[in-house]
This record gives sequence, structure tokens and C-alpha cells, in this order.
Amino acid sequence: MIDLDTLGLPEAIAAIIAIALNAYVLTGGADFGGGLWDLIASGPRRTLQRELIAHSIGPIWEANHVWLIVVVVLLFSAFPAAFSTLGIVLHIPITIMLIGIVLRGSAFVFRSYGSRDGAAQMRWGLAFAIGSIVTPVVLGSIVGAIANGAVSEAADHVGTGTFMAVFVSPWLAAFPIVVGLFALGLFAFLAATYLTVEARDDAVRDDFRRRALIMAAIVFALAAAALVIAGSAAPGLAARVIRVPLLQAATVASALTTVVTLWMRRYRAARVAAAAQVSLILWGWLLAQYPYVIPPALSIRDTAAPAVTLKLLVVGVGIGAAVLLPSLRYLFGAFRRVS
Amino acid sequence: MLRTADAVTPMPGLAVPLALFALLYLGLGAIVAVLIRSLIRETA
Repeated sequence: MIDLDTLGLPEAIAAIIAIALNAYVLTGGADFGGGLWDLIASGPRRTLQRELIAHSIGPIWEANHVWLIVVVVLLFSAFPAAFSTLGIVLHIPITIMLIGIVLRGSAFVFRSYGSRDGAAQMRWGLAFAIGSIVTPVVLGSIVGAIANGAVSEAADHVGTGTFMAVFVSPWLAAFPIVVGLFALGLFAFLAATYLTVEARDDAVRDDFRRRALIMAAIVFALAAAALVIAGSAAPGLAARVIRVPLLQAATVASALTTVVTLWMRRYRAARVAAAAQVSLILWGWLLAQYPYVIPPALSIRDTAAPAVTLKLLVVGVGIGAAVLLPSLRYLFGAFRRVS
Repeated sequence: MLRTADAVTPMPGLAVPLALFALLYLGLGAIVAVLIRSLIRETA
């Protein structure tokens, strides 16, 4: 599938972007999922559930966005033509996503440090939850619009097509919206699975075990719906997904492992399997559209910056990683010791 | 040479996101000011 002779610096940087995106999905994605569970916390333990979510997201959630920043910076530095196309056609969903991230973070902080008054707490909690839900749905719809070729097609009509056709229809259609809901489902599934490990109260742990299992079924249904819609809305994508059968088999195996380990209450194993499942889904999409950044027109090679820029970028990434990775490790370790 | 006017996104209606972000940050700034004031009052 991938010809090793064609791999070079542009592909290496594309792989680094994919790894950073993977890290963002596993860390920031679970934070978004926590927001959904905060909104629909219910039953006699809803306060305990919300406290667990707030404690788990804690003060380190902001650090998780560093991965999104890495993705954006590498994309505009290494693949400026692709970044330009995404920035133009997807201006509206990217703006909504940014506002969602800002509102969500602000509401979380205002709820934690603001008035203890019940109405104020509820208002910030609602803003936090709405931001947590809207942002992943829009993020997923951006992925759907890129994957089914709608962004590429709309880019050809900038300046000639209508506002709706170029700036709205690519991401506000059935397939991208189902992918958006799928992303929200995956993040909620990831969060519930992580929370089974974080919980100290057995009843609360059981609450999140049940939610993780329900969300696993919903994720499966949404994946099936996305594939069915892709048959007509993105036939090329559906064919390319099938061409990585080993990866798809591994995804199914990790999904089954997550469900079985959750069922058997092997929470730490379930956390690893869930992270593997979500990562494999992400890589399945990325490999399905390889060698394109924006299929079917803009490939990694077509949109890559000059070689000298890419070489300097690799040096920059190396220096950045030497600072970032130990810092993150220290940060996570420090808060783990405190808690 | 690439002038700012030539580099701007071709999407029409850019005044809308500009106004949105301005309002968002003005609102957040006002909320932070109120919260800090009440925190100072509580600890004074």
C-alpha cells in the first residue's frame, strides 16, 4: 500500500503531525467526552460523578491542547498550501471550534473559582458542557468534509461558487455530521473508560462502566451509519478504508477487547484497549487517504514546503520535543502525587 | 511582496467573525474582572 521508496522528509513530518493528532485525541478528546458526562450526570451520585470528572480533568486539561497547537503549527509550516485551503473552505467550522474551546475552558475555570452560588454553578456547567459537545462534533465534521473530498471540490469554486456551496455545504452535510457525532461518541467512550480507572468509589466506577459499555454500542452504530452513508456520499473513501484490512482487523480486535475487559471489570486493561481502538480508527482514516492531505487533489508532496524549511522544522521539532515531553511528564507526575 | 489585503481569506463577511471574537473576549474580560473583584472581597 505504501511504497517505502517514496517516503521522505514530507512524509516524516506528516507522520509527526499524525502522532500529535493521536496524542490530542487521546488526551484532549477524553476531556471533551468528560464534558458530555458532566451534562448528563444523573441518579443519586450525580454530584460525585461531576466531582470525579472535574478532578480528572483538573488543572492539566489546558496542557492537552499543546498537541493541537503542534498540529496547527506543523501544518502551516510544512504544508502551507493545504493549510491555506483548509483555512479558507473551513473558516466557519474552525471558528466555531475555536470559540467552543475558549468557552469550554473559561466556563470550567469560572465554575471552579467563581461564585459557589447554585445558579452560577449551573450556568457555567451548562456552558462547559455545550462547548464540550459542539467542539468535537465540529472537529469530526471537518474530518468528514476533508475525507469525502468536499473540501477539495469546494476549493475549486472559491470566487465562483455561492457562499453556501463553498463555505457551508462541505461540512454541513449528512456524512460530515455523522462523522462529527461519531467523534463525540468516541471521545465520550474514551472518557467513560478512563473514568472507571480514576474513580475511587465503587458505585461511581460502576456508573461509568455502564456508560462506557452503552457508548461502545452507540459508537458501533455510528460507525456503521458513517460507512453506509459513505457508500453514496464518499464512495472513494469507503473503498480506501477497505484497502487497509490489517488495520481494520486490529481495530475490531481492540474494540472487542475493550468491551470484554469492561465487562470483566479489568479497568486498566480496558483503558489501554480503548486508547488503542481510538488510535487505530484515527490511523485507519489517515492511511485511507494517504498520500493526500486533502483528497483527491492535494497530496503530501504537492503541498510540502521547500526542503530547507522542512529540514529546519525537523530540528525545531526535535528541540521542542526535548523540552515538551519531559515537561509534560513532570506535570502529570506532579498532579498525580498531589491527588 | 505579499500585502495584507492580498493575503486575506477570500471568504466574504469577515466583519462577522471579527465582531464575534471581539465580543467574546470583551465578555470574558468583564467576567474575569468581576470574579477577581469578588475573590478580593472574599479574602479581604
